[in-house]
Amino acid sequence: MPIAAALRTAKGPFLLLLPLFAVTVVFVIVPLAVFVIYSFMTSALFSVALPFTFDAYEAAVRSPLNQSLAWNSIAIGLMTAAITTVIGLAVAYWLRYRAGRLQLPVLFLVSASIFASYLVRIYAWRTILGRNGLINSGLVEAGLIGEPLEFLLYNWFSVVVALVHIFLPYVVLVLFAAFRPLTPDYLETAQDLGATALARWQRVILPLMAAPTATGFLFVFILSASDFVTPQLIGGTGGQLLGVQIQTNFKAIGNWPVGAATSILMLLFFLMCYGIMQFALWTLKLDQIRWN
Amino acid sequence: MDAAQKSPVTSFATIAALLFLYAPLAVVVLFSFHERPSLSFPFTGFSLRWYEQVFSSAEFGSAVRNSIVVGIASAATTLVLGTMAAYGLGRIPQRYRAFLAMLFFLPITLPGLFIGLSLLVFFVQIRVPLSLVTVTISHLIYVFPYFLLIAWAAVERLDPALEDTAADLGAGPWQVFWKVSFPQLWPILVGATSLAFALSFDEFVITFFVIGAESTLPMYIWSGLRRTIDPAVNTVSSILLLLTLALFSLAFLFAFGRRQLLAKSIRK
Amino acid sequence: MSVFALQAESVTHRFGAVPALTEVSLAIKPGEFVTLLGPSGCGKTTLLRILAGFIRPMSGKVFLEGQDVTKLPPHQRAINTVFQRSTLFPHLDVFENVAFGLRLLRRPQAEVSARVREALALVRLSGFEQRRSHELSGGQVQRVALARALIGRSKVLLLDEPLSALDLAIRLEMEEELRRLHREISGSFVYVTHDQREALALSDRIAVFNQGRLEQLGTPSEIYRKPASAFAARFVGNANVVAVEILPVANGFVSLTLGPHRLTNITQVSKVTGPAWLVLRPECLRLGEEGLHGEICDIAYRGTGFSYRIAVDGLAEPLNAEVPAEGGEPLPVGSSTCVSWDPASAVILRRQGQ
Repeated sequence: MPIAAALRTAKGPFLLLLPLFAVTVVFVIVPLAVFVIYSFMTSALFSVALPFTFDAYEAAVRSPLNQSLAWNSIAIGLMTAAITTVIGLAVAYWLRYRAGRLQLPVLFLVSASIFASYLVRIYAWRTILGRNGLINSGLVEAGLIGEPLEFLLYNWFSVVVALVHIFLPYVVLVLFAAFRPLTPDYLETAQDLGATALARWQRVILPLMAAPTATGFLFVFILSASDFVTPQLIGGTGGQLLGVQIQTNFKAIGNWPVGAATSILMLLFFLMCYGIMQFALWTLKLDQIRWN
Repeated sequence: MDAAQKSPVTSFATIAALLFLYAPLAVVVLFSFHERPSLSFPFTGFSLRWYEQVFSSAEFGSAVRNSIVVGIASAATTLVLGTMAAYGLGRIPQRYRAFLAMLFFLPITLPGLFIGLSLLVFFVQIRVPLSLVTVTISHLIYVFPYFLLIAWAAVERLDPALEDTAADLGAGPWQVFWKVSFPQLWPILVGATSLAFALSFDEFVITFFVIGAESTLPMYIWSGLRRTIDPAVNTVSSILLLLTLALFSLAFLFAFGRRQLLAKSIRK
Repeated sequence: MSVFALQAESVTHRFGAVPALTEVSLAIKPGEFVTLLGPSGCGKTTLLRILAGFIRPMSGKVFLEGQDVTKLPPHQRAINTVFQRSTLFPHLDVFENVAFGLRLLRRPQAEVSARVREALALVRLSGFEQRRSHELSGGQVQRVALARALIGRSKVLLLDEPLSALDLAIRLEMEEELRRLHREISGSFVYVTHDQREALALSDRIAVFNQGRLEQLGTPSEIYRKPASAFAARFVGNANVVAVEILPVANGFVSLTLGPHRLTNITQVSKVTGPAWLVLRPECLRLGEEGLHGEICDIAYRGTGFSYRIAVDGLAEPLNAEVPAEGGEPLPVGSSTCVSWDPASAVILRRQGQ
């Protein structure tokens, strides 16, 4: 077989990589390139036309709607990332040091929940947080409140709750994996030298886990800020994100260059955040831990 | 640390987190059996009426069929291309590996919004009509980094001495793969492929942009969600939940269960 | 009570249904170097962790300079531990690692710098302040760990097999370091090891542990020459331990049956009668014309001499003998020889059951 013969050569492994490489280039790189190019073109209702121009970027930046949505996205993104990271650290810590025989079952439960459909989760929270939902009807039945709580649904609160629900399992798993090299000896040593639990977190755990924690935080921030499904279903007025506007530009309004420009600006912003994070870690010498 | 003063904070957090993660899902499943079309408490009684309604719906049927077809197609393609790539990555010179790894894992780092939009724009530009084919292609893009992550780790764990021995004894590369590497790899590959299928089956964000007139199961749920309260959504959601959870359990068992069983049999 | 630097009183602990320590009492004097010696699973590490505070024993008490610290967690006890594997914090350099305890107490920078320099000088690592843990050799790592543990100036230092992860050459060097450190700082060291050679070389007193019980406590010389049990005899010095029957004393001489042999005047007078263990250390056995007849079944050259294994007629187990290389030819495998010993060097121990 000529293929077999070809595989035996030094170039063999490259042949194995060729199909995936081709697929990636054609369906990831090229589309992204086209997308970038579109952002520099003129709008032609659900299409684009020449000439090349910066108009789309200008419109994207100047739009007051975009600006307020951008701030909202950042705020909601940060809130989601902060909550998920804190809870994620606690759960990952428990799994690593306290779980004992429960480690595998709980790991299974956490990872299994990742596969609960994205849409189903958002829908579940809509059910629970609504006027007649689980929480409100429960509180009313118990006589704790007279009127159902309105703020639970169709604003930033429900968006954050749903997004935390979606991203928490990922963060737990990533942080659990990151905790691996931090054997209990280190924590015992710290304790032996006089560190209380708080001091252990402050001076040992958080510094050593800074890089993976920051990465996880950024990951959740980026994905939350660019989410466009959650806001549409349960965001109401206070919980809208920039991604919705981008989607609207493409599917409803038809102004593709502005949509593309907004997306590229978002991407550049995320890239900048990533750069700042890496720089901060590098300055603190916490970017690469050389374990013993 | 066995000392008696362990703080309960992290245990609380874990219990709370698990409840937080599963309570909403449990509610969805519970109300899929509700005899009334209401989605609030009190829960009056069990009934299978919504399941009957959903299963007899032609739209539901075709959405499920489409999801399965797309899922199988993308999972199968991922299996072949991904395994080849996992193999290749391990054997190319170091300097190419970092670049290619970055390229292959790029889709994970990009939010689905951008992948979906750029594919939409691309398909329009090259005048390919949006259909289940475009959906399959985009699922392939979305899914293979996850597959590659698992498959590459598994390939790295293979003992090269075994393959060298087989080649030394006269086996061609194809035979080496089938007789030596594949028997070690297949449980992981099964797990990774079911993962790929589950990810594709559940995918919504990218599908949203590149789908044509047809529907997949998540798209069907989406259209149900835009409407007002419809208990059938609970039902479909529950079905989707149970399916993907079952798939994941299968994958998990394959990845971990075998290792445990193997370890137990070695100990005996 | 306050005479002792550290004291364990009737400490008992179990892990689930498995007993780890049973009624262990141990008092460590100020400035003493005490080694907890025994095989894996004997309870020595458990006791150390109880002394450090990582385990609260099911019953029993721990006193630190007379104070009951049994319920105190490790961070409130003025005892520091050196662990077996490196636990230098990878995100801190040597200076900050050593200063860790002082930073927790928020000592002023001037004091911290001075004390860190002093501690590093003590372990002979001056100038290593800026190094990171991955840049240090195994021996250097443990020396930094020692500096870090000693900087608090506590009266007791616990060491959990600190040398077992090191290469032999480094280990010997570090043994010398430990002896020197102990002399210089005059605190108490509590050392855990399974290596009896190390225990003999380092300790003022050795506590021999077996299956959760303290079998014998004494100076190295006492443990070596007068083991209190068959276990201690075998574990320390690899002695020959042979089951014998002591016959009633007649004419002032001790007689015993050893296998099919009946021997007289081969040990000192002992109060033990009936079933007993005869402990013969390998270096006390002489091979020659007189004594128990046997055949050489193995010989190994040790540099300083030869190790022989001799299958003695009538005995189930071969005897080990260590003979110095004096220039005489080694006896070849298969040849006959006779084994004898100076009665003063043999030890008789009571034997229970079998």
